[in-house]
Amino acid sequence: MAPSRQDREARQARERLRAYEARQQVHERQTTRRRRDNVIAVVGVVVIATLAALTQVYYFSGGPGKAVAKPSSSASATPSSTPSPSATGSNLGAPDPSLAAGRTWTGTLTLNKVALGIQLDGAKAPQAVSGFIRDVQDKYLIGKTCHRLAKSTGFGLIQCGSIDGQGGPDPAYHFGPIENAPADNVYPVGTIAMARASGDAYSNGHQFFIVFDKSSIPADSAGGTR
Amino acid sequence: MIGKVTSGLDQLESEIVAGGITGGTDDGAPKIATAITAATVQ
Repeated sequence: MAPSRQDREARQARERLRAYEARQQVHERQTTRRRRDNVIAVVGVVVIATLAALTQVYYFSGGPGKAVAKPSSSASATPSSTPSPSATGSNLGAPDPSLAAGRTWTGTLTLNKVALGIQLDGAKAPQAVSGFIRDVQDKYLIGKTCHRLAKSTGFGLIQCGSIDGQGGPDPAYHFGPIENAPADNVYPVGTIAMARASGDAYSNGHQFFIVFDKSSIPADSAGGTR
Repeated sequence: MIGKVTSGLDQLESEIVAGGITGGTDDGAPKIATAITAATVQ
């Protein structure tokens, strides 16, 4: 018996309904997906912002301002709170190490009214000495503060040269590697050495320190010290 | 290490370090505000 007109219409209605429901499901999935993507994006932004904030906090509290660990605190004691070891890296805004010409440089560095005679070893520390030479030549150093004085038993240094006067890093300037670090981690009286962030061999910048009491500074995960 | 001080460390100690550290700690800002006033290399 041929299907009645009513049967045919009912079947067509069911098919239309199924197609409609299918489209609705696709639409709902897309809506859910869009919502989920938005949530993921927002969470991602929050995570990135948090990491950026933490990095900044780290840099200012553990960065060059605190670049020189005290003898009592070894970097390996707190591996979880330090960034991943970085013995390799890249330079930013640093002069070519050939500026130091592989030779010894002599000069003066005056802190307030105290004139210090200095000697720089462009053969043993070509990159850092080149950086220092340029900071002298373009007068970057003039007026920069010595924001940090550290003095305790077997430890004495003064740290200078930060761009903000507080020990903060110059975001447009960093370089590596660590050059001419003492094998026994002991810095003789009179040493001039680069400050850097813990665990990052390529975080040298404008800041340096002068040792006035023989100081022992432990090597960290970046290898060597300063 | 990039180099060394060849003269003037005594004056650094007596005129800046001896002033002590802000807050009486062993690591902080020098009580005698200190800045680089001149620098030369050759």
